[in-house]
Amino acid sequence: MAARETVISTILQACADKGTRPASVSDDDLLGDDGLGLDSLDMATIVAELDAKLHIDPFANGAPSFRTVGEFVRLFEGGKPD
Amino acid sequence: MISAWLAQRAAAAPDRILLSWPGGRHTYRECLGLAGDLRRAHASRGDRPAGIESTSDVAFFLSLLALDGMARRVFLLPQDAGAPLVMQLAERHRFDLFDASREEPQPKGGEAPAPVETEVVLFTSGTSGTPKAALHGWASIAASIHTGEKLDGSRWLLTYSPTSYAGLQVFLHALLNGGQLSFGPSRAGELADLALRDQVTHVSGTPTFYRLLLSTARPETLAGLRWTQITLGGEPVDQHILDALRRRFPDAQITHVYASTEAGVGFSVQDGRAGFPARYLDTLGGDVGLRIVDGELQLRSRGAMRRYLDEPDPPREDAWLASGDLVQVDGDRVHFLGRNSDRINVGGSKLSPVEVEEVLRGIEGIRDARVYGTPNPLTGQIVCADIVLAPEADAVEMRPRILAACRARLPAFKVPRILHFVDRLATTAAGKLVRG
Repeated sequence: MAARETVISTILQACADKGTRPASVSDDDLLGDDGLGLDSLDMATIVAELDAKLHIDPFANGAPSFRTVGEFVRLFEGGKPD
Repeated sequence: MISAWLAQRAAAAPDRILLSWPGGRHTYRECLGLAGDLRRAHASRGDRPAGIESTSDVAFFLSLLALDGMARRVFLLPQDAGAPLVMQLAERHRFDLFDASREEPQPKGGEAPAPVETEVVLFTSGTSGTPKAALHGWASIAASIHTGEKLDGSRWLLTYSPTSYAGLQVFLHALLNGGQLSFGPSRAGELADLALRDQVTHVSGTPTFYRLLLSTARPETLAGLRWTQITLGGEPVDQHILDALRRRFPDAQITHVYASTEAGVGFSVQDGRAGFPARYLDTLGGDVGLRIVDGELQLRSRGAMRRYLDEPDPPREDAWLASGDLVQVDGDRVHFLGRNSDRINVGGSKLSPVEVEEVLRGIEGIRDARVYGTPNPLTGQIVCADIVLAPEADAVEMRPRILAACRARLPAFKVPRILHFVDRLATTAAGKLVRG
């Protein structure tokens, strides 16, 4: 599975764990309030899951910023958020 | 001191069994004879401090009895200590290794040397770094041993490592009551089979041991056990295990003992509820006491060590010892929250693994759980849980149920985020869950 699908499925799993079940997510969706409603603990969980699945830690060299699904996905695709 | 107790017991009831293991047994008379043989065979070593190198538990107990009154100091080396650590400890504390299986050249004639007072050194189960050496005398170790008519001939099961403080307590309970000690297997299920064979009456172990026992012992063995005393210690005791033991052993007295290698026995509780009465904080009195400082339990007791061997002076003038155990007062009860050093920090909010484990163990379909923190780039740490499911439970079905139950009962930062389903949890030689 490409990194993108893994990231998206992990986000959807985190939403399901919270009891929210968005039908789909798009790159422009906000991760936090006014979007998917994921808080910092949920994001920490997603990052830990992705580290285990993809062996990628985008935070190893600093603290990149991300607000949308698309920006977050790109962290794991080797690119930089816009 | 213990060799004198053995001699008394051997005179009173020589044919009773003291040591019993899957491969054999020794009576009090045999133990007295074998310890005497060992002492003669090793007479040339004089009273030099000795570290007991035990090839077997039987050899360990016989060495302990033989060295009492002979060596100035005996060191009870942790069973899981490897050769490099043993060498390091021997150098630091200047003892030689005592190996019961090795024959030493015997001196010609001469008189038996006058008995010396033997000090006992126990090692704390340090999770990091070198274990600390706690200096005791037999009197302080035996200070909390119960004796009496009701305990005469009681039969004890050793679930702890024999070289631990808790293990010594069990050994002394058997010895001082003219009783029997059954030991050997490390697995809970096999210990249960041994307990059944030997008609054990008294058992002491960690909550982890009892959880393993109830889930892994053969049903027909469990049904045959006739335990009259069940003692728990060494780890936080939760309500689930107290209730499970009460259901399985309705006639047994169930006791939670709070003790440590350094402080000795602090108190015991028998009312079937987790934690201890808050009034213990005020009423134990005298030279025994409990107090809470910054959320941590401190205690002093008659069974306390003399000092750490590396530190020449007693640890504190007023004899209060920090336990490293976190507690919380809820109304009239004090509850244990786990070890200070095991605390998890999630984004600046601290939690104890124990409170999360208690919630997990209360969920139907979960047999046991271990909770710990792993590093996380966003929140510092994140809560993870290793979970052992009951055989009929299905991981895919259980995952959402577990998360929902935890969210309902815990604030968000305490909810375990990463769940691993495992076959079993690792335990230490002392029968505790491996932490960290």
